[in-house]
Amino acid sequence: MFERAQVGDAPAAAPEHPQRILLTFDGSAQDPTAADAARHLSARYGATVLVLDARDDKANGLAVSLDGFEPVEADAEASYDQILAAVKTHQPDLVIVPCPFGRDFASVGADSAGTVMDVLMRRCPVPVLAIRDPNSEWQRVTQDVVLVVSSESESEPLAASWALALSDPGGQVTLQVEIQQEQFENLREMLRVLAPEREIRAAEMESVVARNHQPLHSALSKGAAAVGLRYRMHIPTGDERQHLTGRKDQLAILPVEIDDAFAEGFASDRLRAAAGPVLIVPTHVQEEV
Amino acid sequence: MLLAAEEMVGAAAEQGAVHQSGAGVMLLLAGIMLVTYAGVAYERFHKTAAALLGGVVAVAVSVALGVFDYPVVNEILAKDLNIFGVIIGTGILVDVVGRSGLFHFLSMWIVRLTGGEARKLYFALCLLTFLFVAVLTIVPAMLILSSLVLVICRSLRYKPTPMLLTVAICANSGAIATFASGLPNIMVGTAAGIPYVHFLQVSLPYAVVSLVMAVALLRFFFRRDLPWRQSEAERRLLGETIAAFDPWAMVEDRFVLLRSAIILLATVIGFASAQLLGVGMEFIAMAGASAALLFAGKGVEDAIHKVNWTVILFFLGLFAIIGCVEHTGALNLISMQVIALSGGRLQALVPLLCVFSAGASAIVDNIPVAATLIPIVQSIGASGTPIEPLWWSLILCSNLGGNGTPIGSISCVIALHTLKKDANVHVGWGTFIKIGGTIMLVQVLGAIVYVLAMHWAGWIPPLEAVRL
Repeated sequence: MFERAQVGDAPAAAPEHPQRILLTFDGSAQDPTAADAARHLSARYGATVLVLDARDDKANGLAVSLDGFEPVEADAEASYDQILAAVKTHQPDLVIVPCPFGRDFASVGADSAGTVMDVLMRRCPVPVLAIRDPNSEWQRVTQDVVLVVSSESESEPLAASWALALSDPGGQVTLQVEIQQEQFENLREMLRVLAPEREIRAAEMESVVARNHQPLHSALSKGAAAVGLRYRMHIPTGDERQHLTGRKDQLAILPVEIDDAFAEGFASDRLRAAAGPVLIVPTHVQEEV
Repeated sequence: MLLAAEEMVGAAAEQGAVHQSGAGVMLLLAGIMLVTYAGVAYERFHKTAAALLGGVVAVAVSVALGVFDYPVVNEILAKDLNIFGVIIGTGILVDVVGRSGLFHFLSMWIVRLTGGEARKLYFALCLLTFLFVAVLTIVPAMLILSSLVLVICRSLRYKPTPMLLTVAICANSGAIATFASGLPNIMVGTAAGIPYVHFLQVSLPYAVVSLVMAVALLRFFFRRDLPWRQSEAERRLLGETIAAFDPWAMVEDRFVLLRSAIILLATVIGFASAQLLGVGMEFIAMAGASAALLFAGKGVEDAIHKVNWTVILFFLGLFAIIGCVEHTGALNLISMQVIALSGGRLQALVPLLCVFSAGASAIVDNIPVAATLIPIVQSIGASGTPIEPLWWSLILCSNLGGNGTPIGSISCVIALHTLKKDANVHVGWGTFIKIGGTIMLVQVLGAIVYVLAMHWAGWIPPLEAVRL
């Protein structure tokens, strides 16, 4: 336990305030929810909201009001190309995307996050906020923001800053350190081969993973205290670990390190299973751009 | 004087007359008890299994030989239900509060204040140990502190042996501080109906005195094992190393920590006010546990599973055996012999009880020692001898006796096991007895003088004879 305290001079995480938001529409039931999120962020941070109709087929008008938004266009065919082109042109610091793009969440559910999100996760140089269940309320989800981490990722500090920024004042921020059941069992099998005399307990594994994320925990703990947010670190154990599913009243934040197959797979899986909005934070791609 | 002693023996015999069995039955059941204690002390035998097996055999033999009818077993165990209540309640409370990171935070925060200097760190650890054991009891406190000492010693490149042995020995002083700081205290305090406040009046002052004795002697024994004088440059380097530790890093939720601290504080206040409120310690312990389960934000099932059921079952077996032996009249007979030997004089009874309880606790676990001596002290008290000094002698010396040998107390067992497992250091019996045995002798001698002086000064508060 005390090894976890040796974090050095971990600086406090500072909230990342969005100034330019690119809001994309797909004509699905998720559009009004996405617009609601953009309006709240704009009101809170004075951010400019650029709105892009990224449908492949724009023959019919949109059912959502564009009041207060600045419409933009992108010269491309596929929806993901339109979004990426708009990002390149207008340099937003956050993109809001209905997910699955072009389809109602109710029809696809937890079975797919869609091709557009798959492409954006790998190529988009800025964080992408995926809007899932249209019934989730932005004001409610920002009361319970959970930063979900598993293996270490370079994008964790940036994701922590977004967690503090998106949480409503007085809200709860949680650093959820997850070991998936299969991951734990695979590791245990490997260690059993290497050291047959040693029985690896789940608690030991959880302790190691918690220790790996200790600097992040320390930074979030200090950062949350500085801006008056409630904060906790949570390591799901036992049965809880076997039933990790997204809730629609919670905003999940997933740091993703591109080209780390495990990190990408973990983020894709959690995004697919999520019902509430999910912020994907891909630092690696941002560095390349 | 002899006449007075004879009267006392008569009174004690009268009190035990109801349950007087034949000498053969007494010897048989006393033999079962001694064999069980040997099983408890024998490392390769699980002490709870030994106690339960002994309990089953003792009850079967008692019923078969007509010592009592079977329903009496329920009466024997029922009178100790309050002890189980205290153990379960404090067990849950300590687990939930411990997992909030409160004690990890406090200990790291205090260690950081020392700047890592050996001298300050050493004395801070002594004080921390005393306080943590007083609040948490020995086992959870030792688990936290031994882990802290290892990490700090590795980082600052200090030898872990002097630090860990110091923590183990100071823990036994902390164990006598309050009603809830040690199992013998809970057992004696509950059986004798000693209010929490009396512990603060009688036991806590000597806990501090015994701590000072231990620290002074340990400082002498380890005079060449730690860098007691450090240069300015060394201190600066140590300060930088220790600054890399962040106490908050071990706290998963600050609100849970705050709530846990409030619940713990309220429970301690509840213990101190139990008599005033007209409730038992077990009620306060269970109320604190319920509050911890409801408000401290940790898994209820998990916390309940952390209750030390091994200790509870150990007690169950032990109480059954002692109850059986008590019903034969054997313990009453022993108390009559003790009264006869001492002439009923406190200046003989107190040293006798102190030396015996400390010596026995150094060899066997102090729990069976306290459990066996409780009915004997009750019986002596029934003869007209002032009972309060005897209870305090038993509490002080059954705890401090643990310093005498490497197996005398759980704090020493944990410290030596940690040194062996994590630091690859073996501390032999000879080395330990030289240090711990000397400290135990001084502390027990001090306890004898202290109890007698307190009694003669009239500073030991009298007890209401509610449970005799």
